Amino acid sequence: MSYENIFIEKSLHTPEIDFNFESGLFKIEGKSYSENTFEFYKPLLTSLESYFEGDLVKELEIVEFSFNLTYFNSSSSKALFDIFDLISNFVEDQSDVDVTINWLYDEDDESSQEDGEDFQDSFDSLNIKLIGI
Amino acid sequence: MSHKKDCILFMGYSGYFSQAIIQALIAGLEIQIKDIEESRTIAKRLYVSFIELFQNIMKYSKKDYIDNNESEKILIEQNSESYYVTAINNIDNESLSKMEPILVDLNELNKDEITKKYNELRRSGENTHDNGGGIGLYQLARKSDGVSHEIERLENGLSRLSITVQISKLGEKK
Repeated sequence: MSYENIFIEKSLHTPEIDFNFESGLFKIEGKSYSENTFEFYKPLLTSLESYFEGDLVKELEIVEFSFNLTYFNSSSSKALFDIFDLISNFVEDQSDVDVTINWLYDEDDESSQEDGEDFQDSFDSLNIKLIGI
Repeated sequence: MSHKKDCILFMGYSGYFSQAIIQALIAGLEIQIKDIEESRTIAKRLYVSFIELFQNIMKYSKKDYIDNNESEKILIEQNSESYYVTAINNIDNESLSKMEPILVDLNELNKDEITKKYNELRRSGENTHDNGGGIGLYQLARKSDGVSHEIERLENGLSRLSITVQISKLGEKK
């Protein structure tokens, strides 16, 4: 099964999305406080879920996710949680593909660092790299 | 939560609440925050609190209930110690009956308990914005130094709800 890569430019209230399924590089960057958060993230979640269940990802050695979110509302937080949940299930179900997760945060902003730590605390199977920039 | 003493208005808005308006207000708030060189941690907490309270009004304050534009408002006030973000709106009593126990809960739980509850809700999917607003209230509590509320009972099954979030300027969160 082939996958269309996903690129969505950032807006004032939605982040840039850059999902490259062939290379296994996934990036979410910007602000996320849309009124319709679930409508924005649902296609991404559906694609990721299908990708993790398919064969394409098994051809890769490494899959890398990078999150660099300036700030986000609570419903975005729930959507991000669901993304981490999908990644966590994938990590637990197989051992052939290494999964790297980068949580990038402004090193002068401890609130953003705390958000990354919260996700780490919620998913024992994931190793989320907290990277101050 | 400490009392609001000697506060001055930092930013205020009353009128139509929409996603377009919040984008404009946040853009203005970012400029104002940058202008006074506020710390990024405090700035972030202000943005998140403002957005959460603003979208709470969008969700729960039904236009049918509004007699005039002054019915709904959101304010950021400050004194030497803290910022206070306050949202005031009319709400139907059925929605309020779901929110009020959570607002009471927030004053009885410590930070760790609030974070635990917040993560449980994220995992279960209960009380998201589409279904009760609870996760947003816990988010407010996590990102602030206190959440207080006042309720005034009105006629026709409505109440006037005021939620205030305190963000300390003084060092670490409690």
